[in-house]
Amino acid sequence: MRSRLALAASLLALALLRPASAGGEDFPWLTDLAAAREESRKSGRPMLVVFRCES
Amino acid sequence: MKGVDLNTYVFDWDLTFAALLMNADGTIYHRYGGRSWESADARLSMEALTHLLSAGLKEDEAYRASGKVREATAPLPIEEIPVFAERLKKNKEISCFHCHMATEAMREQSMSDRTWTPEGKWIWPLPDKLGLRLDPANPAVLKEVTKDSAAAIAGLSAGDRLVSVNGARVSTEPDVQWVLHNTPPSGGTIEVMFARGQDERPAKIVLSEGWKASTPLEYSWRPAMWLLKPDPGFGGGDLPADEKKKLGLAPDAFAIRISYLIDWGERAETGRSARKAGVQKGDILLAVDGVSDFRSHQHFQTWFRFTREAGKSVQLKLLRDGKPLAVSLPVLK
Repeated sequence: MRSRLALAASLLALALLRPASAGGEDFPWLTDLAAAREESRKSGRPMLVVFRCES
Repeated sequence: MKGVDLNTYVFDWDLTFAALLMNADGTIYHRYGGRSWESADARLSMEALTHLLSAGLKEDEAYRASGKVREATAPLPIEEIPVFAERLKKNKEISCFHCHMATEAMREQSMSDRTWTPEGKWIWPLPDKLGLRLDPANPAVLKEVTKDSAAAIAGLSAGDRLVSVNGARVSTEPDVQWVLHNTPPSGGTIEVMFARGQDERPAKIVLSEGWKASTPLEYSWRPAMWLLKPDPGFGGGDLPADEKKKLGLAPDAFAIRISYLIDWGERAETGRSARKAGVQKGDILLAVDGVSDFRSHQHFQTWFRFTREAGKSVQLKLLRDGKPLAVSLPVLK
């Protein structure tokens, strides 16, 4: 868990859209929430939205 | 959290890590994250997250096949909450909006609207409140059920698998917390569907008045704790083990080194009062009113706010230069 947490730690909000071939490091993390939602709407794919507060 | 719609992205904003499995219309299938006082990642598990992603994709397919569409709600970014907007006008240097600020802004707005009740601070209760301890690796499965708890009385046992709670499917601990968050502190009935072996069975968990209240320890990790009153007017971090040893204290003894007396903001009077009573920076706090079983300085600070009364005095047991010292501290509003 710690490595994934570290991955998300540098940004306030990230959105992950499941790619057609979901393959680990190829996951396209998006950092614009509105754009991610729009992409989700267009593609019909769900989102995993991660909030990682820096404090 | 700047620009994030608080009416859609609803989770325990006090968390430093949270994830939402959701779709583009704003429907949240599951929440992931959650913590206890023990640590920020005590309730996290990669195994559970992996399982959730797999299960969530199936739920998304089923949702889209059903033709359902979530009714749109008016967006509510934190910067449009009136009390927060007012603060932004006064302090233009606030540029990074931490997640916990959303909890605090909602609370302050509720106070401003005169809709706040003290019970409003009991948010996102853990299933522990029902007597349930979920398996971190597979949170739908009950790892423990506390004897004589509300869950035990309802007939739940360790090894049972939660299917749904108040109709919402359970894959994560925050899925249960979401239902509890929306159950009033005055009590109510939680409708549970659970599996034992091949059988699925219903159960009703009855919650009585006051069920939602946290202990000081349970609440101690929440940033909003620091906003509560009364506060002692001073604080500091937990004393490291090697320093405890030098002072002849047990490794697990409560001891904090006082590193500040509040001399800023609207609570500066509490710090001045502590100084006048005899508290000094560098003192070691060992006990308050004979209580010393605090797990951390946050636990002490929360306990003080939850249990001490303004207008009375508390007795501090301190060490200064290795020598014991007693101080009587007035508790201010």
